[in-house]
Amino acid sequence: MNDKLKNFVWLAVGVALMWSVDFLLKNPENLLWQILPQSVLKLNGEMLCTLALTFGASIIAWFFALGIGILIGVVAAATVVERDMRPSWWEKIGNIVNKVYDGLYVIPFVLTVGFTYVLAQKAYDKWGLHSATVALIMIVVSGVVLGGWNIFHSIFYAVTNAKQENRFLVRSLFYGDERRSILGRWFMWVLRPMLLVRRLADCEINSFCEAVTRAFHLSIVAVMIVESVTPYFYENIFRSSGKIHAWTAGAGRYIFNIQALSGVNSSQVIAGFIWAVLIFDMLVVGLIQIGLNRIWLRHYSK
Amino acid sequence: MRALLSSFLCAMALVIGGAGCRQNNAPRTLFQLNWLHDPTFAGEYSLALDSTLGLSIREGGPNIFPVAEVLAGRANLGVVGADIFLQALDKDLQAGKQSNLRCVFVDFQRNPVGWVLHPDAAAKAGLESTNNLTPAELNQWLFSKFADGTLKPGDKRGTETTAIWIKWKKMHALSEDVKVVPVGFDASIVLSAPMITFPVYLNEEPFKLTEKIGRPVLVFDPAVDEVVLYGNVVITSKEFFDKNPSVVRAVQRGLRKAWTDVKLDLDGAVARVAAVYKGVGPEVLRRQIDKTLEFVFFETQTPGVMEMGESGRWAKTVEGLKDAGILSSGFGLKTCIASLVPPE
Repeated sequence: MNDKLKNFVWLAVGVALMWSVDFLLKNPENLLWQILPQSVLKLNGEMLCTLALTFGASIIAWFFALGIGILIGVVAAATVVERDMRPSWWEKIGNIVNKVYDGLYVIPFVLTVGFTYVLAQKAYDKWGLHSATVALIMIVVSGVVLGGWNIFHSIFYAVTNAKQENRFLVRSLFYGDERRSILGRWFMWVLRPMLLVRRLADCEINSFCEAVTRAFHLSIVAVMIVESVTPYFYENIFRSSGKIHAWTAGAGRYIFNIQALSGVNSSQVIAGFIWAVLIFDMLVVGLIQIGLNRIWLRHYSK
Repeated sequence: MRALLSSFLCAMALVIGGAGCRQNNAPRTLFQLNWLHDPTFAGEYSLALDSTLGLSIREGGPNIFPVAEVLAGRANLGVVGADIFLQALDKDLQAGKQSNLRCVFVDFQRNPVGWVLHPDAAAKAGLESTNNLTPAELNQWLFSKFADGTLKPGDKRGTETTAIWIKWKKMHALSEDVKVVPVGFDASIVLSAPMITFPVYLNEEPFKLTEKIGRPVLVFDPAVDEVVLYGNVVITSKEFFDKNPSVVRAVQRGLRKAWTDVKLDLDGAVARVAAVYKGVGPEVLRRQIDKTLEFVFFETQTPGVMEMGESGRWAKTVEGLKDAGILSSGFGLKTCIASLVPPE
């Protein structure tokens, strides 16, 4: 299909979708107009404030996804990268980490959130932690469970599914007899596997970069799920003696509250929230892609 | 190919036949609950037995919003907390619209909310036994522990628990320095005996927790200190009421009778609730329903009544929710009264 035809098909699908929403909700006079991007302008200060908290939390969550995803990915993959030179139990460690992380990813995220929120509150109570720690733990969970897994997965599978020629190539980079000195042994056992993993991940750099951008999409989604499951999530940071401040709900909860109270009459505000999230996601992903190009991809382009 | 075609035709015939069957049925009145089946709805289960009403009870859940269901016409009646009903009116007021929502019955004449504490946490805070304390003294002890920081108040935030907490702490002149801990909806955290009081529905969780722990949890009831707001209410849309006033009136009369029947025949009510609510024994269920009846018949012999005066319970509920920041400051009792259809 040529590009012009493809665009036409997409446009037709979009119009059909909007028309069907219009038709199904039986509010044909202005619903289509209400859910267009200008609905962002209908968001008031309180809504923008709660969106800012969601955006901030999702950026922090993404940084954790990146850091912890790379760390676990490199360490787990390092145990399987030189199967022929290590005892068999060494390899099992990486495979177990992979299975556990896969399991965490597959479990419905809402359940993970519920469970970890209870654990975080227990930790807060038992160890006298600062209440903001509960919020931080949940933001870390938002980043690591979904986005972090994608980054971990891209590194681990770049090693376990590496092509034979790539294996030969990266091994040749570290060829030599380093086993005589203590430093050499340290290099052999700890550092070299990690460097091999990094080089093999470089061989699949596009997959890694895709995982990094996908991790950001998932971080926003995960943060909004956390906000909707835990009431007034940001009160863990901005504590109150009782009175509710609606902006501490976060966008996830705010949408939930509007839905609960207004039926179909709130479509414009909900559309405003969704457009704001989409625009923010597009901007940040654009920045991430610029960063990825500058750091890695430019070395592989013509 | 022929087999495929005949299967397709059969399937189409079934679909068309099914649709035809549905059209022949008399329209039923859909009653949307606001949560999973539990003893809170003992009256509604009894009401559904009246075949003349043609009532279908639909279970709620975490992602089912009765206000939205009723306003969109996907349900005709629904149960919600009084706070949710008033918040919906407030949203319409802020949008400059006349609300399409009507409250037709007050199921719970008092808020069913209270706070619980694990007995080990109470012992750690210095209370070994509650034998010599009246409920009011127990509340007094609790607030002294909040004040000295031994215990922290938990709150589900944004629900009726927040309004009750604010009214309650004002009554005990608790310092603004005491901050609430936003807790989720999972009461199982109580099992680890945290130094936090956990808000619960008094007709459900305390009994389950007591059964699990093997000893009674400590229950703190704000109503003992006369902190009383309306609890669950029954709502409908203006459109449905205008088109079907006789149905709504019949539901009001039926629900009044249903709650009275539950009171008179507790065994029957236990059997009806047990059919849809699992996980607790008949004795615990009996106590849960008994507690539920306390809320329905609180300071009245007639279920469903509404106090609409300036110092009545609707006024107190509105004020409580405004103080908590749940309702906007511009919301007044008049807006609430305009959306009430009290039983005749």
